[in-house]
Amino acid sequence: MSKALDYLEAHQSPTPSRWREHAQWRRDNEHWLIYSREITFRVLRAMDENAVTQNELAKRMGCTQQYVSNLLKGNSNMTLETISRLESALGLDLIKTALTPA
Amino acid sequence: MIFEKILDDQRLWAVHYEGEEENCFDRLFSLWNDVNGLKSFFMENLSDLASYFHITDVYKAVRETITEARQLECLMLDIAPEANLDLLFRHLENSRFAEMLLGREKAYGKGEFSHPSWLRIYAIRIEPGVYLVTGGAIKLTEKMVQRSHTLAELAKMENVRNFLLDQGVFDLDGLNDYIDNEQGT
Repeated sequence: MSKALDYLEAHQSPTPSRWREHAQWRRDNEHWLIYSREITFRVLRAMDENAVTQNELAKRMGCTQQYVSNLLKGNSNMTLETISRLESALGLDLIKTALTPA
Repeated sequence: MIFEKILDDQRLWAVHYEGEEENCFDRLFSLWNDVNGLKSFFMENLSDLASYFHITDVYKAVRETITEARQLECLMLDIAPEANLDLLFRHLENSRFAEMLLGREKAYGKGEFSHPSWLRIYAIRIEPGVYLVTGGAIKLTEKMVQRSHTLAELAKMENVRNFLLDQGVFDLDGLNDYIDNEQGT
């Protein structure tokens, strides 16, 4: 092994990289992550159009600003309850029409 | 400064900067998958996006970034043991044709859309086929020095390079081995 590789080996972090685990998770969950992102796009647009801040959205949803911040990353596996709360808080139709019985 | 192995076979490493929760390679892909973070970035850099890429819809830019990041990440995940990383990374300086000791290198997305990819992974070439990632960027301008966020990446590369040189990671024997390797002797 070269001196450079020896050096990197000797100065490794005590915890190994979790990139592969995270990357594999993103790949394995891509099918629903697409939906999560699409919902996030619509939520962000609605927030912009109505000048709603993350804090205001958190108040309307009855949750913390940290929770909203995580939601807006677009990689949350949102429950139907969360989606319904987003719809009510922003007056949005995310899945309502699609799921309302004819 | 500490390092983390990205590929088990020691060909790809990343710097884990002090105070950061994850190494810079992992962090890069977290940032490139964060819808709101990307939207904020493109809002702040809307004039560059419009003038260099003729895109005025930040959401379009966010979608394209996530798609390209996914492709780049899958490429990294599927790197075969026999694949040559020297084909993935290129010299940072487009005008540089010769190898340099601990050269500054870049890898970028495939450019799936109607414009070249703006994603960049920056690395130091430790030795042939072995790279240490120092960071990355969404590069919207022609030169890295034009914007503070890309200039900061340039500074990070230089800091890591100087750190390794200061640590004596390459002594004269190492340098001679390196040159021999480069010349194929």
